[in-house]
Amino acid sequence: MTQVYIHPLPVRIWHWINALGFVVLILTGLHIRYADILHVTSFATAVSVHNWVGFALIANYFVWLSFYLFTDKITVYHPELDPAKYFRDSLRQAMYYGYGIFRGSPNPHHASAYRKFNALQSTMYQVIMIVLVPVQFYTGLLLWDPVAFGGSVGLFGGVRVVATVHVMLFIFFSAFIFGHVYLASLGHTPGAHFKAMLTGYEEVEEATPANPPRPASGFRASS
Amino acid sequence: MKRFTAAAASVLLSLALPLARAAEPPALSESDQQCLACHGQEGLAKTFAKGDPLSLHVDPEAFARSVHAPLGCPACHADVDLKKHPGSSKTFESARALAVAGVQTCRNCHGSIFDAYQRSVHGRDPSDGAPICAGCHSAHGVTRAAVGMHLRDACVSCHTDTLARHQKWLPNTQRHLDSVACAACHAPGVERRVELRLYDAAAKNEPAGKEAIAKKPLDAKDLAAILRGINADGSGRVSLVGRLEAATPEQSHTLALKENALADCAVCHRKGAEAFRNVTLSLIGPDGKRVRYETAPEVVNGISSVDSMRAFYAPGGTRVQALDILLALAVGGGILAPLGHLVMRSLMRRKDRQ
Repeated sequence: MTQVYIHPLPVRIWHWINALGFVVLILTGLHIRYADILHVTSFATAVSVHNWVGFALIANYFVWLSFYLFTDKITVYHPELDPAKYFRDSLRQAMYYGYGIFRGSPNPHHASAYRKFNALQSTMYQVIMIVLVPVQFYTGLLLWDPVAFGGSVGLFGGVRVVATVHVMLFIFFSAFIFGHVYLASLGHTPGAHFKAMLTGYEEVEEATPANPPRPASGFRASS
Repeated sequence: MKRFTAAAASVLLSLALPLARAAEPPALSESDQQCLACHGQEGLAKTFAKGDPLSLHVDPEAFARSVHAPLGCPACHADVDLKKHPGSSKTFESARALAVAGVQTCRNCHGSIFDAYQRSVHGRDPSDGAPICAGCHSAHGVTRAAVGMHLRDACVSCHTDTLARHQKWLPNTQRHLDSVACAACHAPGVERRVELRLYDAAAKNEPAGKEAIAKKPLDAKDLAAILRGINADGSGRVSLVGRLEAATPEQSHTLALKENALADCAVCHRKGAEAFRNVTLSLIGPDGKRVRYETAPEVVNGISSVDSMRAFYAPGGTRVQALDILLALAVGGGILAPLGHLVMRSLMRRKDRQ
């Protein structure tokens, strides 16, 4: 096994703030939507916390965006431009999750600092980070003050349309979190990926010659 | 059903007439015109014994548009003897004394509303500044209480810090002030209802209606058909907005001290809240009078409301049930799929060991 520095500090800080914030946003969002069922706190408090945490996460998003825009690590979000390779890799990864993992086959993807996502993760996180998360923040901002942002609300068609988009994304993220945590437990040990997101270092098998990692300053070998 | 919806759509095609294009004010009677020959002149005024002035000017057009215009001047000023006028059979020492005496005239027709007002913080206020009927409704330019925002504006004209005070605790303050009647929160014990009103997003006004609708209660399909009829030009400009109102005019007048006002958001912001169980389609007829049609409360929670009420959203209260089901399915799937995968891994590992 080799230890590879996969998660730089700004990404780890962004990730854990984002993780905590998303949990709070989902819980307060549930409280706002289901005030007739949930009585943990008042509706007003739930709205207030939801707004503040929402703004904190918008600011936090720019930590993530700035890091990837201004460092060469943005390669982890580069799309695979060769369709044949993209579909081959995606299929191979899907086969692993759907069959190979049960047979004890090795993960076909070998993470590196510049290619930490497998083909499926890469697609998923491009859509999430570049489309879904910004749309969720934007619709949240519009709902925070639909009068001040009346022009944008009008472009959506009305505040109910904005809210419906916001709620549908909320539904997606609520379901996504369970899958995300489960997939994070599929490292070589159940806690390996969680530990990596805390320390930055992921234990990976030796890189295959066909997909060599680009050298990085944080790369280090261990026994 | 189809026949009704088609009929409703065709009947309401002309609903999109903006109020601004309302007909010319009705002609006044000869006797009213006789009064306005003098009182229509700007600057006509008198001074009371206490020294305070009173404008005697009546804007003829405002009066002609007033809901009281058909009653004519004598209906409220029966004590005026034209043979002795100018000059009054009664004397008042101040404009306030005259105004207080004048509200008895209002009471003759609006007795139950006046009684409710008398029990309110305004009615019990003995000070000279306490609002009386004409203070909010005006004396000679009375317009329909349920049409427009003039009564909200009347409240704010005295309570000038309304926005600032509400902003301290109420999220989306301006939106609340635009879509919730003051009495809905400031009249303790009030019954609330949601009025669905037409809203033209381009003209930013409420189009007027024309014909009555016979069916009741109206359901989501009926509302969609009505809107399709109005938006037959394909513009999609007109949708429905919801407004929270006190259920009766009497309740609208039982305003209390602000300490007694509603401060619990969850009274309305929850599914099944009283207001969202009492839903009416509220249209302005060609005569300018608001007409309310019984409407099934489920319309605010149906999936079609995302389109028909796209400008009306109250978190919790207008919760769309289909999205609740989607949430349950998504979270259920989000939990069960990993669990199933985990079980499969565990079983296969055990099998491999054997």
